[in-house]
Amino acid sequence: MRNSYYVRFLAVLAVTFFCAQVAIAQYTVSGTVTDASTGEALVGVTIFDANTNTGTSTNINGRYSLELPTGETSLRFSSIGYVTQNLDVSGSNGEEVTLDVEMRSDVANLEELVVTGLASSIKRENLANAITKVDAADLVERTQPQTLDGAFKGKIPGVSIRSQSGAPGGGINVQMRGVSTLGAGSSQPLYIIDGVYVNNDAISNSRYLTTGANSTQEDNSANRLSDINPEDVESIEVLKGPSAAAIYGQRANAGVIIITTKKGQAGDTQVSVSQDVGFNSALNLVGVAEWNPDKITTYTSIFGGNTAAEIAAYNAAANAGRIYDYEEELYGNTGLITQTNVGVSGGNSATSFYITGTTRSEDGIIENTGFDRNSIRLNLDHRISENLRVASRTSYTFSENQRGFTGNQNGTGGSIGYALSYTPTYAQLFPNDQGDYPNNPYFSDNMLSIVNNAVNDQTVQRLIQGLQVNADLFKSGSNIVSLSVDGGVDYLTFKSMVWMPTYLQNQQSNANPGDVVHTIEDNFNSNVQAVLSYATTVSSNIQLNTQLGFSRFDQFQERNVVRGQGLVAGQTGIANATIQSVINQTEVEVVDLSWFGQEEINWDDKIIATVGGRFDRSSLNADQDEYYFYPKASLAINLLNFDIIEGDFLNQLKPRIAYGETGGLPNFGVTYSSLNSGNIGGLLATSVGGRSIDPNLKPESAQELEFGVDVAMLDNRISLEATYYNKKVADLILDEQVPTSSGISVIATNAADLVNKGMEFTLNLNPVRNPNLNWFSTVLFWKNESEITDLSIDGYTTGGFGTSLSNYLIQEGFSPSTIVGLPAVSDPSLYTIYGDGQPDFEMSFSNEFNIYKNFDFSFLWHWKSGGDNINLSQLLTDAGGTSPDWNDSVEGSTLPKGADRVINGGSGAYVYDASYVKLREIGLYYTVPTETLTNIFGNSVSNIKIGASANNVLLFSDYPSYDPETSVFGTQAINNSVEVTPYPTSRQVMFHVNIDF
Amino acid sequence: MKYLNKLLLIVLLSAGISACDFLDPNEISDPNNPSIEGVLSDASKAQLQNLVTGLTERHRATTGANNIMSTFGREIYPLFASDPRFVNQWVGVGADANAEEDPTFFGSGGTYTTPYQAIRQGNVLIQSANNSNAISDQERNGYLGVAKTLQAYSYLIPLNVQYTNGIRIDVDNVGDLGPFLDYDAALQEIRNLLDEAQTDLNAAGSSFAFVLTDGFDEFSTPAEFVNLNRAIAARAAIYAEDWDAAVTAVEDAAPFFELATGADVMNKGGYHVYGDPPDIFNPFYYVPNTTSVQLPMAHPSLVDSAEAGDMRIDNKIFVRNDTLTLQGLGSPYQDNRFSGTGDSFPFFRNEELILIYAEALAQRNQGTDLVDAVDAINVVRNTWGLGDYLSANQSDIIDQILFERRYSLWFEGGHRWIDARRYDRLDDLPLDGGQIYEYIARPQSEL
Repeated sequence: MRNSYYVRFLAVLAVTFFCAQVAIAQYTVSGTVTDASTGEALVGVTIFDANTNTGTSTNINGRYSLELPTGETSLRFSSIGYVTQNLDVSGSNGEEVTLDVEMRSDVANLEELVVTGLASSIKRENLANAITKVDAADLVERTQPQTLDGAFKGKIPGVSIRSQSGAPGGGINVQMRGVSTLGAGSSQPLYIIDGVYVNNDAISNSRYLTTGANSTQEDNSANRLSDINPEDVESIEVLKGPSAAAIYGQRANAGVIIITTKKGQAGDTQVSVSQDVGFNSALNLVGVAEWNPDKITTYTSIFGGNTAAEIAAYNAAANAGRIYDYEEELYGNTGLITQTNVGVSGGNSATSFYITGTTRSEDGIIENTGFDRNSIRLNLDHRISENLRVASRTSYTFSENQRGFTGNQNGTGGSIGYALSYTPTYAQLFPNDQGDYPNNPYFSDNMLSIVNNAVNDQTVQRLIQGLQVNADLFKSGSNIVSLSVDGGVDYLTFKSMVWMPTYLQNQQSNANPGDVVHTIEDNFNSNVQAVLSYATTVSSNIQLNTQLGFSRFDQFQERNVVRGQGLVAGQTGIANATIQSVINQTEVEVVDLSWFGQEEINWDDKIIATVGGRFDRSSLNADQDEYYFYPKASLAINLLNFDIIEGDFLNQLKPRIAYGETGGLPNFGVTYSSLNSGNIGGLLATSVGGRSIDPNLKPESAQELEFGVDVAMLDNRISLEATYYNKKVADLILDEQVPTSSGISVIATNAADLVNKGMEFTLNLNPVRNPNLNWFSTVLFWKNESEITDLSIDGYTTGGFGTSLSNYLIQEGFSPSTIVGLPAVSDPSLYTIYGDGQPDFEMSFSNEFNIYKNFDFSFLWHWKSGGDNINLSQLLTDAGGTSPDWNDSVEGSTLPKGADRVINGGSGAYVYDASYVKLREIGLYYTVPTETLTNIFGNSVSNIKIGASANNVLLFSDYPSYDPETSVFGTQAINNSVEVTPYPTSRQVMFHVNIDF
Repeated sequence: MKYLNKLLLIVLLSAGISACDFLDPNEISDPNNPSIEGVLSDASKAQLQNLVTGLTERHRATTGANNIMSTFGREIYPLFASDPRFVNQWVGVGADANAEEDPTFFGSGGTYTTPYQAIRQGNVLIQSANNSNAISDQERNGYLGVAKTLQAYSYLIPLNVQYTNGIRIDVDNVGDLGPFLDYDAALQEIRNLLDEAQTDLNAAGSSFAFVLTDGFDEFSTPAEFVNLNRAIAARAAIYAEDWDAAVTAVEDAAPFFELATGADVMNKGGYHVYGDPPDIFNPFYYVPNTTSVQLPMAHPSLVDSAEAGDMRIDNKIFVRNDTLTLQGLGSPYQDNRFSGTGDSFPFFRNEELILIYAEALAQRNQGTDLVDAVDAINVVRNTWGLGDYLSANQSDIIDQILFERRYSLWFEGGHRWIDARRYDRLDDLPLDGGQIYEYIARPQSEL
């Protein structure tokens, strides 16, 4: 958390706001600010004189200089991660005063500013919520994450994060404080980047059309946070539940993540260049069962096949030495990763800028898969006058993603993992001298041919523009009235092509060989918000901050999907297809409007109270004009500031309590009762859809009570944040399954309440603090329990592939992630319970060592205990005879283990505990000492840092597949722990060089 | 004060914004589809035409019951390698497979949800026609007659699959569905609905105010559509074992009903039509000798039990270059009925009517009924290159009719399973290591 960028941000603020002051009789105070334990010079420490409203910050060498009017004053030295100090200084006209300062670490980050209102922030010391803030040092500087959300893992207590597959380009499910919707609303947090509500949709490329998978959910889509360059991020703030996120109203049920990007700082222009090179390799391969004539006899006797012919094929292959490990062939590759980043930042007292360009290229472990992201950013801050400030945040991203063919398929062989499951080691699938691939006699297609010939490419172009205007309208003494207007646009265009060439085995079996699907999706989000604030101090030690405002959010989406079948050889254009079809041509249009107000009361940093409320309406609601109200209130008490407790042992003791409500909007379309169009025999048909509407549908609403205590002690070397929450989500929108004899399958209706109860602990330690070794350690622990407390419709099962392969139970008195399967029982559970998708608890352990000043070593362990997956990869490998333990014997059965599982196992046989311990991140860096740099380069190079790091380093788990983190259905509220032959997870090893000029 | 000017600009801007609908946006209606409300009152003829076409589309979707019912009757093997449950659950070889007990039985939606969607579409059409001012009363009767006839066709599918569970008939009000009627009562309601439809059609004038798809060419006027109505009534009558009524219904279905030899005569009837997108492909067409194990294959017993020279075998199946095997079930016999994705699929052919006629006569067994039944059987046999069948024994004749139905109606909606159950012969069907179900449990959504 000791991140220099945030400090720079503060420094720039300070410089921008206060530098212009000029006094006549003055003196200069200057000095060096260092870390008390390491002696290292500290960059970006803010020095502020409250009497004159002036300030500055330390430069790269830890030096500062400030001109003050003659006389005595008190300077405040502050920096995130350090204890703030107030030091008296005095001087006479023209005098040069030296004041060197040593700063002591503050593991509790009491000074950190945390967002609590739509236009206000509060220092952590006074915060009444457990808001987690993660800054760049912990997020992206230990090792380079593939995507920003991938870097959240193990760093945010209360948040369960799951990668859906290992495909390059991401695809991540973020669940805060348990289940907050059963699928009707957004299960993913609201992401706000520099004030812009950004799109985080998992945009489908309709791959399912060519692979025969069931729906767009099985397209292995990446959520679009992957377009954000992690290098640009300064910090993220995580509002996990309604008590903190109530100010975001109807879109905040799943939490809010506020992302702030880096700013330029006043001073000399700095140029920073970094180059990274690394490799992807499979984290964990499963292995393949051995084949031999006995095994073939056993296998064919159970599953059919020509025993004699298979044995002959095996013998021929074995004699020719042509037994292959196809898993190794498919997933055993090493992918190259390169990343180049160039940043320029600087500015003066009125204007600062931050310009970066980053290009990242990553090859996956499956050939012809990869992810490239190229982004540029310009962040500009300008002070028009002392009272009027503008800020602009512009980023453009172009990303290309080849995601390959994994996951589910039906009948096409369009998933290489699926085909692999059925392919024995003696199959001969390699191409001949002409490059022609033989047919795979064991499945619908030859997966080697799919890897090399089928195409699944997508590109995204994205522009995010944020704009902020701050104006102080009125200032008098401690009274300030200010107006803050901010907003922006997020425009993204997604284009994709999925192509199965004519000569593929499965295409040859079609009436019209060759299949191509083109998708174009345009998304345009815009939001604007205006807040009027009034800050005042009454009776000298009570500060009041009143805010009133409104906001509007608009979303427009257009999606076009076209398909061509029966292609001219080698062609991908729809015009070259025998059969040309329009799959989708749909629009989404949404408008939200909100009014809100908030009052903060701070009594001398002793008692800090906030009350507020927000009225929201949305065109997604059944009643589009109706406003819904979301209140909040919180209280924090800094007991130590009452001077009751004596001694220095404790540095902070703060009980806190917060309550808030948020909403969850229905999905687009569920409030419309529509006719579907179709075509039969050249006539246009309109037919009644499977969905009817509930005219009284309300948004989902969540009420959360959170309380806890923050303690810091022993000179701020130990801090503990303990939080308990009780989050009730009411009026959950469920697709009520009406009796299908009505001809209607579902009606979206408010039908359930559920409760999430959980605990979160953050323990920060600084066990060793001396010039040669500075050790920081963080332990996080969190657990959540969900229960459906009320269900006004009949219990039912949902998700997965039906109860016969296990799926999820929605029933009063049960966790919504309960996994059930056949046989049916007469209990309320309806079916036999086999597990639960949510973990029992999660823990993480991160450590950071600064050794001999120049070495930084850090690592992060993450333990997820409990949580079950439905592992259908194993069902498929069992049916194909390829599971690694297939040939083993099993007690009480004449069948081999794999066959026994698939035949006698029943529907619970594939529900597995998905606990794991992962060494998620590890990094070792060396910073070349300044003296060495000066000796070699003179003053031309200010900093060189080299290092090595790794992501997904080690996995310890009994889960019998590639990775316990998996979800074939992508981003889902409930249905997110089903595995079907995913893209295996990669281990990423990187080497880094960073040079600052 | 420079900044004040800028502030003024901001204020003006906000004022400009609030002047429009910025702070009170208009309601957003579905940008992608027409609404149901738009047709329920005062629908135009064009809207009614679209609803009629929608009904034929929903009617076509009822072929979704064909694979599962034909598997139950062992007409086919469901060799769909992508999911082991086709064999495990449908053939019943899986340890936990039990269609009669499992309310979420795998892949059963086509036997229930899909036909009820056609029924719902029919109800919306009926309501729209009743509330439309764009049509005459005589024209209205045409809409009602077609809607009710096709609804009756659809009702028979869940009734046959749910069997003794019974089904709901009154499903017009989504919020207040009628009770479950037992098998006999539900069947009677379906037959009443057909009679009602016949009355409507008889009062519908000489032509419809709408067009039907080419698959209904045989039934393009109200008078001709009555023939289809009576054919379905005949099918329902033999289920009800109301043999007199069956004979009458078949006779009333003439000239669609034609007791004469010839493949064309046999194949006269109603068809589901298919085409290229935006239409859909015939779901039962598969490329000959396709290498992927993703298709229904004829049950080997179909060929094993066939009479030599039966042209129905060659017409309906061909012997592949290789035998396809999945989960221990193998067959070399692939469907040969369709030559491309655009071929039509029959939902009622004259050949069935002839065999219904034979069955009803044989069962009634009055006067020359048995002789007439044998004659009807032989019309079918002679058409397909087989010699005359001779018998005067009622039960032998009925056996023979079931045998002919097996070959004439192979894989056309699951007739063999229903026939075997009607005559209490489910035990005669091959188990293939699994089980023969009598019915499917009532779906979870109805519990």
